[in-house]
Amino acid sequence: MEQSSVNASPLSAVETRASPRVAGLRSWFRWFVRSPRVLLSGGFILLLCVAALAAPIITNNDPSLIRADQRLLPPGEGGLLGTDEFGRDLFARIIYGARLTLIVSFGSVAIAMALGVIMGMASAYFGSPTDTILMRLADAVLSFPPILLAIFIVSFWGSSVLNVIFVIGLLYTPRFQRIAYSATLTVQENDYILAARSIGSGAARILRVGILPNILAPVLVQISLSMGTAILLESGLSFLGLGPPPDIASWGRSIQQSSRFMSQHPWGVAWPAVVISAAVLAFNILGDALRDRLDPRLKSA
Amino acid sequence: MGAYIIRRSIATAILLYLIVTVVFLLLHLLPGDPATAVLGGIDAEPTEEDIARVREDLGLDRPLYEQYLSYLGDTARLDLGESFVNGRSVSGDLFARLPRTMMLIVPAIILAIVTGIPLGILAARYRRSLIDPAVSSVALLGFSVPVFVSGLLMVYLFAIQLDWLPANGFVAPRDDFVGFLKRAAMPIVALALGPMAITMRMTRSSMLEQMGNDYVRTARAKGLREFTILRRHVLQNALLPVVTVVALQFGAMFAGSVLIESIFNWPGVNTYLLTAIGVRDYPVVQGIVLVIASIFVLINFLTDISFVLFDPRIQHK
Repeated sequence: MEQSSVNASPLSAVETRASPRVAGLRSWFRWFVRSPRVLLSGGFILLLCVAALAAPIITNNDPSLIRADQRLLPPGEGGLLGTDEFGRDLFARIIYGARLTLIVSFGSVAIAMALGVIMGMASAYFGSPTDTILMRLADAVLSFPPILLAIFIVSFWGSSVLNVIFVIGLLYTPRFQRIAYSATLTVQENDYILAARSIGSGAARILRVGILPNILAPVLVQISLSMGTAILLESGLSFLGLGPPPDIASWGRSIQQSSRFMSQHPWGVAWPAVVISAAVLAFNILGDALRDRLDPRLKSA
Repeated sequence: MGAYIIRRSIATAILLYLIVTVVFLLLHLLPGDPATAVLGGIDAEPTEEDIARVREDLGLDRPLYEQYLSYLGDTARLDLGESFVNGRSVSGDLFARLPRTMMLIVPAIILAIVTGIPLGILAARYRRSLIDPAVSSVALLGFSVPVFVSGLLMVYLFAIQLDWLPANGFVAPRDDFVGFLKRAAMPIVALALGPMAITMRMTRSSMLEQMGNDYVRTARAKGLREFTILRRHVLQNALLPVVTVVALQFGAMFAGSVLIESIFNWPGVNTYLLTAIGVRDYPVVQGIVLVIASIFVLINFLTDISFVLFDPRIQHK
């Protein structure tokens, strides 16, 4: 690392910032622990991840097991949170439902981010007519309500988990495309980019080393916020019966099925409703907190 | 100004044409045969001759470009064809149902504006008191809770527990206005919650941004009352970004109304769309998607135009 500062390449100067990485990590850790909202929201998200990964260890009950003699039981009977109208254990359904929710939201946001950031950066950097058209297309997709497009596509492609991930990923791509585009436009005006170009750095290297690390802040915030809306979208599709197939435990579908029994047995709706809301809230709070930390301009406002 | 409007109009027209084409391609290139669907689906085991006859009736045996051209012509004349399933005119059914959806969306957006903007101003004005965190937390909750959850919660409270309002259904306001209001109240409030929260947050942050400007300090130094500064100076500048957000909320409203109509059994455009998708009624799906998409494109167009009207600086860019 000390050698790189001897090297006079302007881009190495960007790389040396990584050297106080430990100090950076420590400051992130302090941020995480000290702010109650970050601790709560981040903690809840971690809890969900653990629940999703360790579902078979946490509960022995099969989330799809129908028990005709144990229908509509209140919490404490037939399972920690009660049972639904088929006698299925609601706790197990919530825990296994976390798997679907997290797989869909992480998967779709990952697709959207990868495609969007690459396209947005390239469009801003090269600025050819094709890039302009791509950005206008992004505007068009952004102006249309995602759930309608998702319903439209999913109903014709079929609604396997992979299709739902793919559709949400495609629909969210323009968000990242826009953010990466405008951030790249600003960052590439910096003198060090000019310097890198003048010593003959290739476009790929400039984009990767010079621009990408400097546009990560808004992208990170968008990841957290998109996770929240992806959960909303997935649960909305499942609620309409257009989500992943019925044999997969899903919070949205649980709510829809149990809503018919809401007057006698509100628990079947209440539990999944609480976890969906809490999960979205957690990602939104985390996104807000990330923005406050990464964008000091907004903090001072 | 004129040149800008003309440029935007051309872009809007191109966008509309693209949407029309993409909808056609999506429907015809995706798997699933409409002729089989008309005959009751694959389970009804239709014979080869039946399928061939229906395909001919529906014009599906013609080459794709021919179908495309006649589709373009019909669309230009606002003729959206007939339903595969019951043979009724799509535009007729669609325009009967569109107002019912608007009866939810328009009041909801008004509700969101008249509550969201004052709350945002309040939070910005009393930033250092408890009002701001209180309002901001409620707003965060407002757009985190899924619309179908807040809808069902209201049904549970006001229809099941308190028995104040009917749980679902629709009455035409012309027949029974009070009955209509009773049935529309919960869907409208449920729809308005999310957009209200977003309008509030946007107003708040936009106000705060403006309040940091020099002109506010000058106004204070002149000895203007805080209320006058906010009303005469800050608000005018702060509301511009709010206009865009409100326009974008229209999209969120449509998205929410899909779920809300399904919860409250509201016979609007979205329930029509969901039924049509279930039976692969192509012309109906095509027509609804086209009409909704066009509404969106037009709203975006009007927003852009209104921007120039509100803020003369924009045309210099």
